[in-house]
Order: sequence, then C-alpha cells, then structure tokens
Amino acid sequence: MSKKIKKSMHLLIYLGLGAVFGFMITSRVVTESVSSLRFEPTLYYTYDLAFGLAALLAVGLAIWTIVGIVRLPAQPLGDEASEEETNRQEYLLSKLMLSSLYCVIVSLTWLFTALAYASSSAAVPEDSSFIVINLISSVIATFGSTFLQVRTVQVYNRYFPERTLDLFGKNGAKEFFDKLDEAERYIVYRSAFSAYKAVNVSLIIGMFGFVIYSILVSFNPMPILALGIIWIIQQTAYYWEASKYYRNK
Amino acid sequence: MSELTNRVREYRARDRISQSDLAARIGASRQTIALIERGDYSPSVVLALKIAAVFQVQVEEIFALQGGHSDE
Repeated sequence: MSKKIKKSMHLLIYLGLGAVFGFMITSRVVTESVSSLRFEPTLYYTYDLAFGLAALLAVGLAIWTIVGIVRLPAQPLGDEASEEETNRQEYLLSKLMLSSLYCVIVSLTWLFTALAYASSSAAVPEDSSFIVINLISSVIATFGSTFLQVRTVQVYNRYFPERTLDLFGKNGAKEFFDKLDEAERYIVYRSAFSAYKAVNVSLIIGMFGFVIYSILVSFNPMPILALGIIWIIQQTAYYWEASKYYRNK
Repeated sequence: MSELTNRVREYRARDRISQSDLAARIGASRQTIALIERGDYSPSVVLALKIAAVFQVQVEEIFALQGGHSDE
C-alpha cells in the first residue's frame, strides 16, 4: 500500500471517528439511552469484579515472575557458552525484569484504587468486610511484588556485576546510567524516546477516553486535569533537560 | 544514505576471541560488541580504534562505509 493511500485511509478513519464522536455528543438518543450506565463491575459486593480482576492480574504476573526467577540459572553462563545461549539468557532476564515491574504497577494500582474506594463516600457500609479484605490483600500484593522485584534486580546484578542497579538508592537511576557504556546509553536514549512518544499518545487517548466516559457514565473533570498536568510535567522535564545544552554558560 | 558495515565478527573468528573477551579488552560490554556486529550500533571513533588495535589492523579494514563516502 502506497504512502498516499495509507494517508487517505487514515484521514477517512479519523473523519469516521469524528462523525461518530460528534453524533454521540449532539444526539440525545445516545446520551439518554446510556444515562443509566454505571461503571461498577460487580458480582456480590460493589466493585468486587474490578478488584478481583486486579488481584488475578497481580497473582498471574507474580507467578510468571517466580517461574522466570526459578528457570533462570542463578549465575550467568560462563565464557564457554555460545553467544546464542548467552543472548537467550539475557533476553529471558529482560522479560523477567519487565514482568516484575508490571507486577508492581498492577499491585500499586490495586492498592491505591482500594484505598480510594475505602475512603470514599461510594463505599457501601454493608460491604465493610469485603473492603477490609480487599485493602489487606492489595497491601500484601504490593509487598509481595516489591519483594519479587528486589529478587529480580538481585539476579540482574549477579548477571551484570559491572553495572549493578540500586533500586532504592537516592540517585540509583543516574548511577546506573553512569555505569553504562556508549552502546548501552544509545539503547537507553532510543528506548526513552520511544517511551516519551508513547506517553504523549497515551495522554491524548486517555483524555479522549475520559470524555467518552463523561458522555456514557458521569462527568468527572479530575482525570482529564490530572492527565493534563502530567503532560505539562513531562514536557517541562524534557525541554528543561534539552535547554541545559543550549544555555550560555 | 551511507551505512557503516563492519567485519568485527570475521576478525574475532580469525583470532578466536569471544565477544566477552573483546569487550573486556576494549572496556565495553558484551552487548555493545553484539550490537556492533549486528550493525545495530555505529561505534564512536575511540571504540572503533580500540577494536582495530585489538586485531592489529587499520580501522578501515574493519569498518567501512557502504554506498560511498557522501550522501549526494
């Protein structure tokens, strides 16, 4: 498919999405028919399905991480190992780092959501036992996932003793970066730029998603404001760092 | 656009040096050697000179520009 056709296709998709979105906003038929919609994934207790899903994800990721730690040899392969074997092992280690990080993120999201629900007026007093168990479980999951991440970093540090990572150090990230050689720094620069682009797109999609949420469920400006503030902070950090190199000393 | 090609793997095989050995000799990581060999990373002049010194050849014998020396 040529670039011109691709561009035209994208334009048509955007036009279609714009038309659907415009119709949703202006049409009373849609807004009235969904006015009774509530985002409360529930089976027995209010929001139990949503918290259950978070728990399931956290446990799944924890099991994946544990299996990864067990499967990976405690020590890196020696010099006699082939390059393919060494590459494979390092690839497994990178997957392990990612799964342990996802586990921490999911557990923290669960903890903060549980905390927000327990402290809000939306919490149903009759569900107090569920709320307490949910809170305690999320705290346990957070500690468990943090422990797994520490274990994963220990494995990483055994594999790469010349560039160890200090997870809880004050300047851990900077110290780690200083230990990298030029190609590894190049990888960090490429990855960080990809992450920067992904966050930009995600923030716009997130804002758009909350507009849809306002239409379908209820108006809540806070998430959109929070995303806007995060966007400003991200851009400021980027330009602040970049501007250091253009300032007159 | 010109692309940097290299014969690091070839010279390593000639001298029977592993990626880790070469990395240790030039003060880089094994991953850096793997990236250079795959053509995913163009090393700095300093690193290229260090690699050439290990194999005791001129840097041009290991690294070359494919597609000429200019972008014209």
